[in-house]
Amino acid sequence: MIKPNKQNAENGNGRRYWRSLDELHGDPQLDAAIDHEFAAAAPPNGDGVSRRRWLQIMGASMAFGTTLAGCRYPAEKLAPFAFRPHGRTPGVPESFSTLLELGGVARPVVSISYDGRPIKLDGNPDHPDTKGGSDKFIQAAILQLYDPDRSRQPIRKIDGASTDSTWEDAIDMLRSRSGDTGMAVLCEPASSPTVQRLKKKLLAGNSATRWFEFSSISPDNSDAGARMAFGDTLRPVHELARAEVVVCLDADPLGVDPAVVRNSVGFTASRDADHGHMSRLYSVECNFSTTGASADHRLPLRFSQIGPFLAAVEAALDAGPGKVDPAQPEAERMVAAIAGDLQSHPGRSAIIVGDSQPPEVHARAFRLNSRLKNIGQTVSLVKPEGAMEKSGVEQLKELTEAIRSGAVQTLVILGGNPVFYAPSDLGFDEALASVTNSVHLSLYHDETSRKCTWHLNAAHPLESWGDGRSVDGSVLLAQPLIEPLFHGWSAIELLAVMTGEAEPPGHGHGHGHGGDDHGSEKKTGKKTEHKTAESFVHDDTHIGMVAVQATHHDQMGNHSAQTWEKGLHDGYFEGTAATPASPPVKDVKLPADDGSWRTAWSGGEPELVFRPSPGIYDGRFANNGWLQELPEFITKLTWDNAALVSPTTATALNMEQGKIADLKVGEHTISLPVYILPGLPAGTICTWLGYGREAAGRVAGDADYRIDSVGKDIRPLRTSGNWWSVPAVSVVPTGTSYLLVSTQDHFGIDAIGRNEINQRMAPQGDMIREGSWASYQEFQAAHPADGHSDHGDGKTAADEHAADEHAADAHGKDGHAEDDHGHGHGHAHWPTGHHLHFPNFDLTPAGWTGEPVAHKWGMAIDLNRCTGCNSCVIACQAENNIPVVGKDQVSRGREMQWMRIDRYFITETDDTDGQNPLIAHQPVTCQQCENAPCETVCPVAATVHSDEGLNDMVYNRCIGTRYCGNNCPFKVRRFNYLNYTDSQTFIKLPGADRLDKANLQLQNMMMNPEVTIRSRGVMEKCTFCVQRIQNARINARAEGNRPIGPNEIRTACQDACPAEAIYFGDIQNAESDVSGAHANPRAYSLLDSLNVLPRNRYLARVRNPHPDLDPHVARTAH
Amino acid sequence: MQEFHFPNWVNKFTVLVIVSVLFLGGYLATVLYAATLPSTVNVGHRPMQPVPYSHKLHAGDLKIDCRYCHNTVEGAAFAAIPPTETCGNCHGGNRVNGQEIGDIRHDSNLLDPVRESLETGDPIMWVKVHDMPDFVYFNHSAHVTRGVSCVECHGRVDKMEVVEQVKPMAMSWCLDCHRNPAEHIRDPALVTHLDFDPMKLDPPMSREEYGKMWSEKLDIKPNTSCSTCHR
Repeated sequence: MIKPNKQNAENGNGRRYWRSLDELHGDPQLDAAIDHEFAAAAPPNGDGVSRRRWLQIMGASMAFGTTLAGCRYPAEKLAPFAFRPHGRTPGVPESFSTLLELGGVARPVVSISYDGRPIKLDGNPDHPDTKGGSDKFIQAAILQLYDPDRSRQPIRKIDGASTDSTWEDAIDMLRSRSGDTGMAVLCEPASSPTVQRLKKKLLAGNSATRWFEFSSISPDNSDAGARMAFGDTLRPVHELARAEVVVCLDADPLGVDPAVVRNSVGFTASRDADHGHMSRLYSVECNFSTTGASADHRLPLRFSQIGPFLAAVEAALDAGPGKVDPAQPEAERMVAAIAGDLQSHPGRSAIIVGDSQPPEVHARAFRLNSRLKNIGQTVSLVKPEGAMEKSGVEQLKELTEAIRSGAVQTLVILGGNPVFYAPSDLGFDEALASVTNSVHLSLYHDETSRKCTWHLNAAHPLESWGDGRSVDGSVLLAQPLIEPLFHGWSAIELLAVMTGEAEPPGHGHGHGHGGDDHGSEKKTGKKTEHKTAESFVHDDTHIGMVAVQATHHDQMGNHSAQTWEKGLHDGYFEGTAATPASPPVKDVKLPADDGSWRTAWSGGEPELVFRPSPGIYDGRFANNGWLQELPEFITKLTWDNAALVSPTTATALNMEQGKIADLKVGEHTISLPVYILPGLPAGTICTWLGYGREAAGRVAGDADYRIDSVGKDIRPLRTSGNWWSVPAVSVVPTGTSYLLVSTQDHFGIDAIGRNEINQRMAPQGDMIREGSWASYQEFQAAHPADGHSDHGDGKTAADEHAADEHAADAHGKDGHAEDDHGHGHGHAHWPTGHHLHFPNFDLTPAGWTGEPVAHKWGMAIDLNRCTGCNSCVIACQAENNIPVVGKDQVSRGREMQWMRIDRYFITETDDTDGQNPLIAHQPVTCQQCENAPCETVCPVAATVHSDEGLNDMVYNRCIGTRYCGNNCPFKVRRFNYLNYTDSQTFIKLPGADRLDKANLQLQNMMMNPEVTIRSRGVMEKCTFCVQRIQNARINARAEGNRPIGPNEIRTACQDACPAEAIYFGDIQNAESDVSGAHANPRAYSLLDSLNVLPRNRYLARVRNPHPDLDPHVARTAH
Repeated sequence: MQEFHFPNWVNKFTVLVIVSVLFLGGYLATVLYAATLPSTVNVGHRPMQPVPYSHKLHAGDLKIDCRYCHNTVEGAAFAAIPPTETCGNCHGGNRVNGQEIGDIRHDSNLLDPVRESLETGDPIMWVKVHDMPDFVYFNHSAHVTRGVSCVECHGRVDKMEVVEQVKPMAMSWCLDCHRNPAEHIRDPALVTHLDFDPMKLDPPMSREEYGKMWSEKLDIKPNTSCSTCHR
């Protein structure tokens, strides 16, 4: 049924690069759309509804206060401290370490605080879990902290009517109940040692109290698998740096995973092709994950086939792996290749199974890892402290039954949102509503809060004391970075008061935080400095701090004050990482290979699988505009979930792109828009959790204020029996259209350009260059000097740029024939197949000699390291005050993120269906061209070149002609079509009467004061974080005019990148990482043929295919 | 019905009307232009402060160094307004740290806001005099540590009873100095000596000569790229 697009004809090497099926097949609508560069310079606000919607989103995501007076701008007031805190310099940012928890794992972070306001988070560079990298959830936490939709006070429900209450009343109520027999606590699995300690104390104090833990995404299956295999609950920690063969089975260790940062650090370390390391990653999965895109070999299998597939691998290992038989089908070849690779890499391989797979699959993976001697090498087993034996779903079921039997009179729910997460068949929400006294501590007045008799507003993790255990089990500490904005309490504080360990603080202000709004937050614990251990633990400055200190008192020993100070400073206690266990594997009977993985889907009812949303996780980040608007890596979908199906499934089931399909199991139905995604297994529908929330807030939906939900609710089909997958759903296509917004075809230049993309893609390597590890090794052997020129050693870009100028000169003058290497740099390039016939030349007038410049700023992005995790996109948004625009605006191609990650599917030319495409991807920022096409067309000189080679954008000069955006070949410029950061609209929002004036300006606090806020009609783009460059320069000059260090300046995206794929610095400085990267033989410029001379270079991706397996990749390099 | 015609006597006014309209338009444009120039709008801006703090008395007559109060100027972008504590060192009585350290003018009602702030911990709300637009990023430390004196931008504050803006602080004014910095540069140790004059040195030097010497010594190469100040 699908015909190949003629214009997309074969490009010479048998492979095609394409971005969407519409592009592959030549969809006329797309042709029409790309005729308009700025997709819709149409009337900005077509209809009232959508206008209201974006105002809501924009208002909730960003709100600004402006005032207006006469001719002169209004006088500003200055409010200096009455007593300036010691060590504080107004306007100079400070950094503090703390932690953020995801999925029961604490992740060490460092915050940048500006005048006492945290404005940016990054990973803790000293801790092995992050090494400075972070993921999108860490980056976006700052928006959640300042979310105006966070609840502001305890809310009590009396006779069905909600009334505002106070913390004093709430605490009085809790304390009067704590001795009750019908007391139960429900929380999410937490790694915090203090929570564990208080839990024991609570249960010891009142033996009738019951404790339940439940969360929607948890490693329950893995834990159960470990109990099968080892007889004990142990969690695998993957040391990917040591692995040479990694097999992922429905696992996404590089995507949505609490350990994603640690995994990315390890994974990229194992793929340092320049220094002779290159691991091989196999991914067998039923969805299309970030890990799958990074894999050297990816096999789409249905959810139910993955267990049998692993059984087949085990069987092949038992039988002794044979050769890969090219005549066999793909799946068979994969089994042989995987078994062979595992066999030949004992202790250097890792099998990783995703949380959603049943316990038997995990058990088998543990058994195989043990057999392959990986335990203790690439897979460490860590015993999670206080993990429950039963799965979360079972515990919730028990709790529901206990409530039904009348055994629970008081239920305290600490965090989480169980009403939204609970399996739909349990009837937990109805049961909860019947509890006499239910209390929910939460950041938002959400679905669960609305069913409870009490809602207590929680302190954000960045506002509270706490602790937690990281992936490797080491103890991390959390310190408040700011006074609780709404006087909320943390779970630790509440438990401390419930157990009677701490007395509730006096009335009036929060609870011992004081009501001081002038930024005197206790961040360093300095008050405790000169106290003895005893008095130190009894320091009553803060309930939360005292509780955390009490937990670690024994461990801190005699030098508690110093250990505590150091722990707070570092963010963790040194030497507390858990000792990995290496227990023997029990003899457990696991189901044998039933061969079902061999059978292709034969039609009929497809499987439905649920996955954590790559943007909003399980819905807890739903009200975060940054994460909602973040284009998902593979689909590039924003603001929605969808039924993701492969083209084959779609054809077989009559599902059409962008049309609603009803999925039915029994009498339960969910309606999802269809999104056709190549590379999914046939017979599988994949969808994301967390959408369709009705009590999230102004961004994600709030039924009370008539704000529509974002995305579709899938909960009716997610039951305790079908927690991660539904074996069969019946599909009823409805034909109703639904606007799904995907950014993948945005910024198409024109039809000619679109078709040209294919030509430029592979043969010329103008956009994407990649090749096989074997060919790179050959190249390195042939060019020993270049072969290991990496950061700092060998020839650097500084030399090369000098050579470049001569070469450029020569080209310009006599236009001699280009050599094989494109640039005419004095050295060779890899992949070698690319021949450029457009010599670069210099536009500098002959004989002109400029003054030498102090710096030439440049960037390099290593595509071999980048996993496409999207962390950089959010980091850039946080650093540069980039607004959220809403679904409607994104659908018009007006998204504002300065960075985007281009994603191309790669298929054989004869594969018109795109059944199992490879992925090539590329983060694109402003390329900071030396011959910048945008500059020449600006009529008001609002974009001009700085003498250090930056393509400066001067917002206050810009009049919004958009000529620059038109002329940009990389489409990295973003235009403020509307005043996305205007406060006046915020007033009109429903529920705005709940906000006082200070709260209206809440989100001003989040803004980076180093970056100008742009208003309507202004073009903006990546500046290479010029604010960081300027500050580094100013500091260096103030410090005795010292030179700026070679790698001193780091951009926000570089800081965030867990894979260290981004280098930034002075390309003139031979010691800088970036000049080393520019001199790497893999380095190339985007669209080299245009002679725009970008300062940004990409390092070609190296793939490491199994030599017998994939003709696909083996063909690339030559 | 007869068509309406302007009477003939109107004709002699036609030219007058055209000329007047042109003149009026030009006049209004000129007024608008002149009225919105930074040198009109900003120079002479002299707001009243909650405490009538006299720079003339403190910095001029008593010769207190600028950095006694504006102590972040060498290390930060902002020359921070001092915390009330700093005022309290001389005017606070025992309100700062419990010890009696000085209670000058303890009977003056003008100092009430200072005493009140010290007692309540609430800030004194000062009015900003030199207010740059939000899209301009000026860094005090970058200038002060590199030999640009306070006086170059703020004038003789040591002679001002009430501080006022004396320089336009327009972009062209900034650029004038960034392009020809020499005569604005001095020994960084002397930046707070507002009355400094190289002619009084021994041997006397002209401002140009002296500035040139110091800008060479300090390797002064001001940047004029847009991103120097606009981010």
